[in-house]
Amino acid sequence: MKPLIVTGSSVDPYKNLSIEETLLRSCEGRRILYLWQNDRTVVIGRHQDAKAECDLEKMKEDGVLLSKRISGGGAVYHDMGNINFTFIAPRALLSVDEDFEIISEAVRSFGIDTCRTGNNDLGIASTGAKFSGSAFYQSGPDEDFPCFHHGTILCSCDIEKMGKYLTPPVEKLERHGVRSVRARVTNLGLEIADVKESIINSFERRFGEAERAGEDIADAAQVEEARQRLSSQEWLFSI
Amino acid sequence: MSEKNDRLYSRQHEWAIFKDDGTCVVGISDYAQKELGNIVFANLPEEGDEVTADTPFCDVESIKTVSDVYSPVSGKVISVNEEVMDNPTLINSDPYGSWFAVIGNITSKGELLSSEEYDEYIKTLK
Repeated sequence: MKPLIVTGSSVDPYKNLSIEETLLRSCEGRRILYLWQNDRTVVIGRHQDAKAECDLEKMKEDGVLLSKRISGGGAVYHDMGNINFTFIAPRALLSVDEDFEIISEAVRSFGIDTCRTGNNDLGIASTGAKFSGSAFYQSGPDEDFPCFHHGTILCSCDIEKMGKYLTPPVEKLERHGVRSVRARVTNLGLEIADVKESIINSFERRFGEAERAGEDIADAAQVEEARQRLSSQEWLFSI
Repeated sequence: MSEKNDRLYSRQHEWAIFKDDGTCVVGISDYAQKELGNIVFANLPEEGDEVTADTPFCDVESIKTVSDVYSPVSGKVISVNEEVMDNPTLINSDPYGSWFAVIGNITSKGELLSSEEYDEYIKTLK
């Protein structure tokens, strides 16, 4: 079966995370790359406390949304200067190193060398500043179970706003919940459309020609079920 | 490596001890904790939750990933291990002592393997 590349058009974070989850649940052994963008949103990790991680009042004033993903890790700020990638595959097929290589190769094609930073991040080799953060979800530790690796790529994101909304703690660990770690970040200064095309090329060089689809390939009823759940106050404010 | 033979195992890598009082104690196997790496958060169920065999009933977050944990039985959660919630690294250091939940009112069981069968099964992985 050919791999599948899904290009999103919605910029609604709840819908996009629902499309991602639906693609995961229905992947049936197939390798999928999903590329998508959220308009101004703070996305927190599954086991984070929204009230501790971001300034909800400032976000409300500025019309910035809060969403929570099913994967782990810390809080990030998305806007239309950021593009997100999701690699979906059964656990036996998904290699985080390979995914990072695909992204790095795509970025290198613009003459920018990359390096791994932190636990799961990519940075610009010359400065070490992070332009991409990743998180992971697996439906279980078995090889056949689908899992995903998703992450951000900062192209022209408003980094000043990121500092305004995100409130990572000074101390690293607390008893309850997973806390974010502050990192020095930078934009790649590239056009989203160019980066998108370059990732697609890099993915196809590795895995062969892929079938292309829009986000409506994800089952609408399942997307709606997930959207209700992932946009609920209960989900957003439970740890 | 030999798995503990005082309990049964699921293919999703949970262990289950069936007690004389009809309850079932559940945790994750040594294989599972090794695959996950350092665990930073255990999102355990709540007392009173209804759980279904072979269906996710809680999850754990490691430095690598969030991973769902499946219930080996259908029933009702009667207690959860607060100690593991407070100190999730216990799952890494003592997977067979770090129980997640006790499930009672058991109405059905998923397919479970003996320690020998589970041992054989994990040899087929990777």
